[in-house]
Amino acid sequence: MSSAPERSYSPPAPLVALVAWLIPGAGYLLIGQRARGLTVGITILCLFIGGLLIGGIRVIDSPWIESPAQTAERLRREEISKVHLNPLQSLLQKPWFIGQALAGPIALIANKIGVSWERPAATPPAATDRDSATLREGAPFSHSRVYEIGTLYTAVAGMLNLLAIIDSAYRASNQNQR
Amino acid sequence: MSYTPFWNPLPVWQYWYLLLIPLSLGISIVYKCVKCHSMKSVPREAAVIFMTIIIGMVLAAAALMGVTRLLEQR
Repeated sequence: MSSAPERSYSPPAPLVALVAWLIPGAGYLLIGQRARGLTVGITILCLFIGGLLIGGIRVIDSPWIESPAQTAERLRREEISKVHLNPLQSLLQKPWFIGQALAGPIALIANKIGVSWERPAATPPAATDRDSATLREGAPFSHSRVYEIGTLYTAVAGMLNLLAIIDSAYRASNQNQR
Repeated sequence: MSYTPFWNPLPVWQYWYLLLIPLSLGISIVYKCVKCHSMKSVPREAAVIFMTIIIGMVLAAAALMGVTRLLEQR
C-alpha cells in the first residue's frame, strides 16, 4: 500500500534537506521514494519554469544580483536619499525573492541569466537616454498582472519546495530512528 | 510584438485569471504528495482539493463582486 522505501541504509536528514533544495524532489529520491520524488520535482519545476514563461525571466529579482544599469540606479538613489540599505534591509525590499530562492539554485541561475541576457538582435534598443543605453540592463521587466502572476508562480514553487524539503528530511530522520 | 519565451511576458492580459488554474493544480499535487501516506491515493485526493480551491476562489470572487456592486449603488 505505502510507497515506503525498501532500503536498509538511509542518508542523514540534513543531507536529504540539502539535496532536496539543490534539486526539487531529489530528497525523496535519496530516501528511496521514487514516485513521490518525481511527482513533486516535476510539478515544482513546471510551476517555476511556468512562472518564468508567464512573466519573463526578470520575475526573479534578487536584491544582490543586479544588472549594471540597476546598480547605477540604486547608487544614484542612495546618493540622493543618503540612505544605504544593509543586505537584510535590501532583502526586505524584495521579499518575494525569499520564496523564489527556496526553489533551489535554479532561481539564482535564472536571476544571473536575467541580468546578463543581451537584447535579442531583432529588437532595437528602447532606451533613449545615453546612460541607460550604455549600461547593460539585462532582460526587460514585465508589468501589471503577468508580472504578479509570474512572481506568484515562482514564489509558490519555492514555498512548495520548502514543504518538500521539510517532509523529506523528516521522513529520512524517521527511517534512521527505526 | 512577437513573444520570445523568457524575454517577453506571455500576452495574456485579458485572461490572466485563468493562470490561477494550473497554479492551483500544482499546489494540490505537491501538497497531497507531501500529505498522503500512499502515492496511490494522491490523484483522487489532489483532484478533490483542486476542485475545492477552484470552487472556493469562484465563490470568493462572486461574493467580493457582490459587495463591490452593493457599495457602488450606495
